[in-house]
Amino acid sequence: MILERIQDLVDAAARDRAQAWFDRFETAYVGEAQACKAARAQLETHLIEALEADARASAEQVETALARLGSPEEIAEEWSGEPAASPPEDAGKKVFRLAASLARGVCAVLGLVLLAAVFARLSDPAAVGVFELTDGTWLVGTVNDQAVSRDVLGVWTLPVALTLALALMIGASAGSGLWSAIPGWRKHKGSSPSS
Amino acid sequence: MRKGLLGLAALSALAGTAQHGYALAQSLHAVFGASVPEGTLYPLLSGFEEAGWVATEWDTSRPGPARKVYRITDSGREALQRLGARFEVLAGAIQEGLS
Repeated sequence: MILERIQDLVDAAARDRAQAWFDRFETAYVGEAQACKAARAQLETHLIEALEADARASAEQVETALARLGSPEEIAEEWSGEPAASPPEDAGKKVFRLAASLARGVCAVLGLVLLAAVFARLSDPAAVGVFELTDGTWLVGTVNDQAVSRDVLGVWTLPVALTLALALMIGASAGSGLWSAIPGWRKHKGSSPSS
Repeated sequence: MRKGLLGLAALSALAGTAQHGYALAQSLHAVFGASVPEGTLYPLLSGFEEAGWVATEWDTSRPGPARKVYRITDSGREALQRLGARFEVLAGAIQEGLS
C-alpha cells in the first residue's frame, strides 16, 4: 500500500508520532504560512521516502526516521533564519517604509524645535515668545528694547506646546525599536545579580 | 562551520549528479553520520535555490509524492570552486597547526 501523505499511515501510533513531529515543526516555524507549508511538504516527502512509501510502517520505523530527520525546532529555526526564503518586498511597501521614516524624521525635528521653544519661553516668559508691539507689528522671538503692547501667546500655550512636543517625539520614536527595547530593559533591571 | 561544510558537501555531491533531497541526505549521512540531522539539509537547499546555485524539477516517475530533484547550475559550480578553495586554505592552516 503506497503512502502518499503521513495522514494515510495505517498504524495510529505511527500516524500520531509523525503528526506530532510536524505540529511541532509548524509551531516553531517563523515565516509565511505558504513557505511553512512548502517546507513541511518537503520534510513529509523525505519521511515518506525514509519509510519506503509503505503505509503500513510501524511506529518504531517512524520514530527512527524522525530521529534521523532531526529536531523539528532546530530545522524550523534554520529555515526561519533563511532570509532568502522570505518573499521579496514589493515597491509599495518600500515607498511606505520610506515615507514613514521621513515622517518620523520630520516629527523628531519639529518636536525638538518645539521643546527648545518651550524651554526658552520658560526661561524668560516676558521676553521670549510672540508679541504685538505698540507700532502694530508682531515680533516672534526675543524682545530687546522694543515697546510691547501685548503677549500674543499667553501662559496657556506652554502646556499645550509641551504636550505637542512630547507627542511629536513619541511619534518619531514609534517603530524605531525604542519601545520594543523597554521590556528587555525592564526585564534586565528586574533580574537578580546572581541570575 | 558545520553549515558551511554541509553546504560544500551537498554542492559537491550535486556536482556529480542531480539528486532528490532524500538521496542527497543519504550520501551526506554516509559522510557526516548522525551528527548532521537530515532535515537541516532542506533549508540549506532552499537557500541554494534562492541563490541560483541549484535548479529544481519535480520527479513524478515513482509512486508516492512528487520529489524535488536538485541539479547544480553553472553559478553553483563557481560557488563550489570558491568554497572548495576556501576550505583547502582552512584545511591547510589546520594541518600546519597540528604538525
